Amino acid sequence: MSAPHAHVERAAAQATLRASAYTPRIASAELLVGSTLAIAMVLLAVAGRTLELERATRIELAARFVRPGTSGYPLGADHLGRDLWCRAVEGLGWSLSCALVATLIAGLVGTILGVMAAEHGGRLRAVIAQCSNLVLALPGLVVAIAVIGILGQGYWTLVLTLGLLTWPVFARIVMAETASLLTRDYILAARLAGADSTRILLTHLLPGLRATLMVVFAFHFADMLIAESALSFLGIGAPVGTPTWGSMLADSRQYLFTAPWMLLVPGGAIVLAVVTVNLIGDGLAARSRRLARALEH
Amino acid sequence: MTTGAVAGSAMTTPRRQRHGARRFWVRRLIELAVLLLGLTTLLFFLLRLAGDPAYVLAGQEATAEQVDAIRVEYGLDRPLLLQYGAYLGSLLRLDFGRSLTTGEPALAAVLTVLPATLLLAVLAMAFTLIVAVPLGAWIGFAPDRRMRRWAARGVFFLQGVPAFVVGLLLVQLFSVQLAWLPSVGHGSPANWILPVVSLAFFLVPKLTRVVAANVSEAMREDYVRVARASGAAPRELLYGYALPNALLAATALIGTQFAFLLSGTVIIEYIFAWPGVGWLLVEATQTLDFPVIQAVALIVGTLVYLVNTAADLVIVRLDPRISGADL
Amino acid sequence: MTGLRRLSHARSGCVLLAVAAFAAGLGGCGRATPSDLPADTLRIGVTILPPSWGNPYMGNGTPGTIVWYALFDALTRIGANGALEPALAVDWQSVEPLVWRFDLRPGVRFSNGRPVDAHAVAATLEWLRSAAGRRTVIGNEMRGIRSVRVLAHDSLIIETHEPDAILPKRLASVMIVEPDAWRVLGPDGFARAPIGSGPYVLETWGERDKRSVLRASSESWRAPRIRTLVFQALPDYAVRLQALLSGEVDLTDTAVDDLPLLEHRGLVSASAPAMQVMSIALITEDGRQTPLDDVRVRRALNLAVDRELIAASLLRGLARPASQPATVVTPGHDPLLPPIAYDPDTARHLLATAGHADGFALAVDIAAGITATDTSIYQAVAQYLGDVGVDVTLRSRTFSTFIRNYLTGNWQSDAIGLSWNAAPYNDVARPMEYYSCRKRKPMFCDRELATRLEVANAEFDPRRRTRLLEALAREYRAAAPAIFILETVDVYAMHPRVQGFSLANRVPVYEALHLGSAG
Repeated sequence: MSAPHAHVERAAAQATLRASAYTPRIASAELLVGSTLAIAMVLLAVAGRTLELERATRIELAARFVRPGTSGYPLGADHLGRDLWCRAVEGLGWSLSCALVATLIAGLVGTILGVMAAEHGGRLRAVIAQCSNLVLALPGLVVAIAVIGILGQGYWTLVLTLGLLTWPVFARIVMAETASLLTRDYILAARLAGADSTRILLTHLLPGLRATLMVVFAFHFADMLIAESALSFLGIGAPVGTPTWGSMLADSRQYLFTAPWMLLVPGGAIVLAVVTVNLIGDGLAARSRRLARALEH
Repeated sequence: MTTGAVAGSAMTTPRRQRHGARRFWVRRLIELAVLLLGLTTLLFFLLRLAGDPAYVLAGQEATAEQVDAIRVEYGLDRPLLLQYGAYLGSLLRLDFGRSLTTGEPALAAVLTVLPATLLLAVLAMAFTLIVAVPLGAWIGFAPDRRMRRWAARGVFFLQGVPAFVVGLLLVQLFSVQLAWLPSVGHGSPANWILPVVSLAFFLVPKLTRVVAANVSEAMREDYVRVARASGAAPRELLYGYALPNALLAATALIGTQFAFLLSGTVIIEYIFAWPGVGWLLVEATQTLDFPVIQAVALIVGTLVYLVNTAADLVIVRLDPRISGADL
Repeated sequence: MTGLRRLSHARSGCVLLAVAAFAAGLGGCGRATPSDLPADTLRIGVTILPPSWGNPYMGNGTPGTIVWYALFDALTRIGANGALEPALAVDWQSVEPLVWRFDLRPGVRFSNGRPVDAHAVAATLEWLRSAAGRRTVIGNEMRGIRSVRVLAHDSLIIETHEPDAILPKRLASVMIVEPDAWRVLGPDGFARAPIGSGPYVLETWGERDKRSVLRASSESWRAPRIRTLVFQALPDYAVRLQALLSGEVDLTDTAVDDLPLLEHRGLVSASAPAMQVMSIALITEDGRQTPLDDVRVRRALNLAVDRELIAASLLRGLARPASQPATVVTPGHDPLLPPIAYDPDTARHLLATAGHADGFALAVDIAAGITATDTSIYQAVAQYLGDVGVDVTLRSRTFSTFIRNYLTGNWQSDAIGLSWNAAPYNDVARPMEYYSCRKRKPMFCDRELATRLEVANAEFDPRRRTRLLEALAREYRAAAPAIFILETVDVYAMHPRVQGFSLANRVPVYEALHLGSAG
């Protein structure tokens, strides 16, 4: 990764961070709405998991293609007579937790490598930069299929694949941000005062990175939601019959004409979830920008 | 980094520039070679761990001898490291091997379908730029006005819609219900509209937001405000200063997005029966056609790298604060 | 500074446009716009073009035969309703148990004018017996052939290693290729430019667009009525359906669920038995002790499934509930056997008797890429099993993994989704073979049944052979090596102007098709 590219990467990252609403009032509203929706979704997901809604997986051949609004089927039924509302809720749990864990893995690996690269510079930095280029150049689909072929389908295979294929997103931004932070006066002062690297890391760097990390985390989470649904759509995500939004979308494809609600329910759910996460990310970005501005003045 | 670069550029001599250019390309080529080597190695061993194409080739009725014979014929029985060495050697001769299922040279197979993917990528990128840049500039120019706020919210919302969902909806609406546009193939321009719009749906929001953010930032800079106060037309400032700055920041994003287009259009190609690299890759992955998978990965990897390098070059041209020496 | 920036922008913009134009130009090369094709053209949507193009020995059955039967002929063919019909051979008989004589149809020519005589047929069969030929799928199927001898201009002798009562049926899969072209071009070259005796000649494979164009051959003995055939590869079913509905293809396979919609849109459909019994193979030869080793358990699993309801709701009654390994059109089908009953109470009772009153877990692998209908059927069956206490996990494996497990006996599950496929030569002995000890790395092995199968295969009198196979079918039903589900069907939908449509051996009969006025 070259110097000007890194420079512009950082500028682009900051632009993304700044690309929120343009007045503080709206920014708070974004965060509020986003958080409320997010909390509602998490509660719904947890409820779904604990209640183990049987209607999400129970096949009722007599209830195929029931229209939305029919009694007992608020959002309609799919091609196997399963209630779409319950399936969407079950899918919420699966998708949210998949995306969360994948983002955590990517974030952990990416942040560690990014900080190491920026701290030590030189050859280590070059190696890590090359590694992230390599990982980014890998054809993701092929790797996912290969890994699943080796390890078998399942939650952890999917999550590990997604996480380990996308850590460079974190690494690049963290590398750039850390490099910039390390030139700040207070870090230099701490070094001169004799503090060792670990202390500097924990007490100065990480707090400085926190705002950026939260924003990148949010946007990456949204990307993982979409990626997981794409993989399920192609049939290489969850096992057969598991209610996930992606597989619901895949199921809906040949019934677009007979039962369009099979597309609209998971599609709408994905859009809602991603928009919620984007609202939170945006709100956080706006808040960090306001803080930065306050610091500058 | 920035201050040093400014000082450096002020003192750059022509000879230093020539050296810098050569060093740039040498360094980039070495980086590319290392990248490709890593890619090849990783894929080589990963694929062979994932399965054995001899069984797919042999078919359901095969006997043990047949499977073994097929292995021997395709060189799949030799020790793994030996196969690896032989493969690297043939790569140096630009021989990517032959497809296990069709027998044609893997390189030719990829190059046959590559133009279709390039076409899709370029059209989608062009469409994205045509829509996103003016839209972003318009929003960022006066972001507090009501219509622009609603536009910003609309763009924000659209960011959440996955490309394949859009593709499916567009096909349903325009191809089947209204029968305005064809949904399969890529022969005539009418075929291009739906897949390009589907892809652009995914790319436009992000780019719009980045452009809008940068434009609004730039328009708030002190000297711009001073210029406005002293009577300069805001439009001049928009086109002359804010927009170029926004494009500069967006170039890196454009580079990454184009890279994504080259390698990530699989689902769109699938939905629209667009015979490109993504489709080839999916088919090859299902049959474990090693040579084709590796050829696709290497060629797409090289292209993506070149696109990113081109983006870097454009950045250098646009921003005098960064000198070529830094590359 | 502003002007310079504008200039560099303009230059970058020009570069971008140039690249776009270049790519557009490249992309536009070699496309076949619909207007290039003659008016009486039939456009067929297929899942995939033959991966080996014009080399008809690298695959057996669909999807390859969909195109190959338009280009080539075999000695015999499986007609509508599964009957064996003459094709390039008009008569055949087994002179002795190991010796067959085939008499060829006179006056047939390849598309390049060369005659289809005994020498041409012998050349094909000889190549399949060679080292290179034996490595192909068809060559492997024909490994029972010991020698081929030309008797006269239009008759030849084929000798087999073992008595093979169904050799003529097997030969229905062996496409006869023009020997000189095959020899000169080699398999790969011939694959690019195939020459056969079928109703159509290849004009272009259309690798770039996945759109093959075939032109009618006036030389052919079964000359077609439609001038041009276009095969458009559309791997995804939903895309094929869309193409049919928007008028971009005239004919394609379809799922039963979409028939009401298609009828509503004025399209026509036709179906034919697919000569397959869909089932879940219960693996008992994996060296492990599982509940499936007990025949009572296997019978219980069969009794737990409501086939009638599945056939009625998922397949609109077009598919018959299974009763045995063979379908109704396949020789060896015992018409007196009723469909397996739906009796969950007896199923639970049997399971309890076998010591599994609390049920057990069952892992079932299915191959990825099967139709959505098949996946739905497997899911429904899994639920029925769950209702009697058997907890089923359905896992989708990539095709390469699935077939590797199948061939090496390296089972990763307790059962697999595998049909009793009598196609492509419509004989129940074929699936019985791989559900017996005779399969390499067998799933199920009963010595007595295997012996009886050998006896049936050596029986040359058709009536006696059929009775032996029917008796064997009853035994297989009782032994329950699999959960027999349904006799599947192939369904095609087409624009009403496509007339004369019928299926033979799962492939459209091209010479009978013609285009009427739009309906």
